[in-house]
Amino acid sequence: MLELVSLTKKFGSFTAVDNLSLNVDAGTIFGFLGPNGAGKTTTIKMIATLLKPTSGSVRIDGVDAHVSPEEAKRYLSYVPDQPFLYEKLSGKEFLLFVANVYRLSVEETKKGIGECSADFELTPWLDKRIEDYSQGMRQRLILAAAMMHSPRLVVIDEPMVGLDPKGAETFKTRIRTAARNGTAVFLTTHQLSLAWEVCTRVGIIRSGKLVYDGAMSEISADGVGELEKKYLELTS
Amino acid sequence: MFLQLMKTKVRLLYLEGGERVSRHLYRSLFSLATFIVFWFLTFTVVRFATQYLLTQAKIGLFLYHRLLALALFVFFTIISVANILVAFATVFRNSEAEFLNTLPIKSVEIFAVKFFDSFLYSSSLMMILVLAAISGYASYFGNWLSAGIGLLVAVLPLILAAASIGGIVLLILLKTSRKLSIRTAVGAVLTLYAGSTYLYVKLNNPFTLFTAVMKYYPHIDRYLGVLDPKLDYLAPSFWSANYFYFSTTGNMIGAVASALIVCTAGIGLFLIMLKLASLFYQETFWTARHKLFERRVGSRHSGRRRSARETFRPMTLLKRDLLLFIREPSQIFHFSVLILLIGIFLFNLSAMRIYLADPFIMSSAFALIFAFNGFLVLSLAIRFVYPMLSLEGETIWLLRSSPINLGKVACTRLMPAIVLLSSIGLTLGYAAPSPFGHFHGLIPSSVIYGLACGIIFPSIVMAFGGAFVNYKEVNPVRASSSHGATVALLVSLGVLVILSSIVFSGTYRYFLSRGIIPVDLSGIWIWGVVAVFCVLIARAFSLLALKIDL
Repeated sequence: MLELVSLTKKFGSFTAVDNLSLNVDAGTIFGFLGPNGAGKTTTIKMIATLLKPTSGSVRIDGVDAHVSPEEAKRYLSYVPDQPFLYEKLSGKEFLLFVANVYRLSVEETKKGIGECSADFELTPWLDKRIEDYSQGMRQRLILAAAMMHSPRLVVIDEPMVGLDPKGAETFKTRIRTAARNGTAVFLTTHQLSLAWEVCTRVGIIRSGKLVYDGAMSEISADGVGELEKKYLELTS
Repeated sequence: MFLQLMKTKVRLLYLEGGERVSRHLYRSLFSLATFIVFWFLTFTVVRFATQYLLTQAKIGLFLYHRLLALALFVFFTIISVANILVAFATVFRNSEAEFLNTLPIKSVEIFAVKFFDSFLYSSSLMMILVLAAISGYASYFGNWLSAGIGLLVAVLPLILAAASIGGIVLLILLKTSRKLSIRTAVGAVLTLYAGSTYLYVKLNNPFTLFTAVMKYYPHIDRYLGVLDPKLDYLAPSFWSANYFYFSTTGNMIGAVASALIVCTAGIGLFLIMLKLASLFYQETFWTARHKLFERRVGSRHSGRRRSARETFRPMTLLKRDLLLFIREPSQIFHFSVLILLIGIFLFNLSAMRIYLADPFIMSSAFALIFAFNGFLVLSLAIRFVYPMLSLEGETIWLLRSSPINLGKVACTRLMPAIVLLSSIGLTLGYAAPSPFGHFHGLIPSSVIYGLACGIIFPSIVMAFGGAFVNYKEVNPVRASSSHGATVALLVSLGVLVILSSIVFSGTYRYFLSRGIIPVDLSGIWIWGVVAVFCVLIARAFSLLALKIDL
């Protein structure tokens, strides 16, 4: 579903992402881990077509994201670490806007808004303006908007920002369900416990290079402690 | 999809506008009053100037409309340049543009929506100015209907053409910046604008044209197109002015033809811009993002980042502001351009000589130079002082939660601006009397006027920056073109008009006595009182802004 082929991004003489290649298949929850400044956000921004790679390519369901960005983005949902929301719109209006952009039918829109707002416990807040939402509510809204159109690939940068324990649990359940239905999930997080709980595969990046790529069961068969140990070993 | 996006944007504009009125009633009423006063001032000035030129100076309808063409050309250039600056911030470096670019929307549609956003942002003041000027024009000639139609078919397309040229230049600039360095590309654009403005003004020198037109006296109301330089035909502003000439003289065929040319230019340039956007926007968006990230990554890896604790003392705040200023290319670039313009103006001023005997015209000329000096100081203040408080942005909590006197913080915002701008005002004030040759007695008063401008304008602008503070606006260009900045500009222009008339009356007697009676400085204390009052108001509003509920 997601294919990164020799992806490289240079800023002047500095190489932020260095010859990164990986595949994320449908139904996989891929945890992209690494210390600050390792190149995670740059990689994600290239996947979301916000940055163009210096060399290499990003393919989403076989479509080159930088050759046919509009087509590639039809299959993609991107949740940035600092999402943009129209403050003056209500939650429902924002979801309707996103549904229109993804050209959902009236039925699909109704169903999508109903299900996602129920899943993320947004229903009582839907008619309120986004400016009145708390940080956690905003995060739930943006996650609901991302899941509403059943994307083939979801890319999430730090999904747990501002979520309370219940919201976090809802997120995990929703993401697992989406993966079971064939969605590929690419997420970055600094919370190794989250990665251990939800990810089926994990990649570790350091100084722009992928230093590990394998199944979660391989790297931390005995629990999150082992993942943490391995992570520190590979990134220090 | 474009219509869907526009529908959302219009709804947002409506919601934001409505809320602005309901939440900040006094602020909105004040803004409305300012707009009305500004509208009335412009209306009166245009009507008076038209009356003076046609009945006192008797320059004739043809020359009058050529002066109008010159004014429209300046207006056209200002809109075009303003649109380049604001469009860069709105279309390329804006969180909404980033959001829209992650959605499956055609890049040209994103460009078009954000272009209108930037167009409304950068041209709203100009539209008020035009509306007021056209009303003044129509009230003199009594041709409300044709002037009203002119607004739609000769002025709006002109504004669209100017903004579209700005958009085209911006796209080409970013497109070429991959191959050329950004400095070279910007230098080329600046040279292009400066060159075309110089060429236009040189070809249409009002004094030369005046002499040429007067050869046809008394038939100076006739269309003397033979005197027009052929290059003028390329400027849409020329056809816009022609529309007004023909409609006023009752030549409807000429008016329709001129309007058609302006409309074709406006729509044509807009379509060319959209075509270029469909070809280049995605790529130029990536280029702009790349350059933004390059800077961020560059500063991260050169160890330039400072710890948050560094910002806790007023002197450290100054240091921080200076570092942030010089590391933001748009800030340092715009500042350099404005300083360069002031340098050019000073150079021209020292080379200029005014040999007129009429004391009325002499004092008018001096008051005009003063007004222009004041406008330069005011432009700097609007662009750089107005956004200062808003730019505290999302780190305002840092100041609010730290053991620091917010009054001192307000002063560290205001004082450096006053010191810098009053130095510039002083220099301009010193240079202002040079075109008047031997009238050295003008220098002390002129220096004092310049100094006062350097204190009064940054203070007024800072006060409005505090009253309309928006900590969510992180872009200095957008902040300085916001609604609050427009109101600050209008109020300051009103003050500038009052100050200019005081300067006029102060120097009139001096010129009347041929420099024997010194300039009347007895009212100088009023300037001092006004300056001190403005500083106190600025401090109070800055403090209010810093203490606002977050």
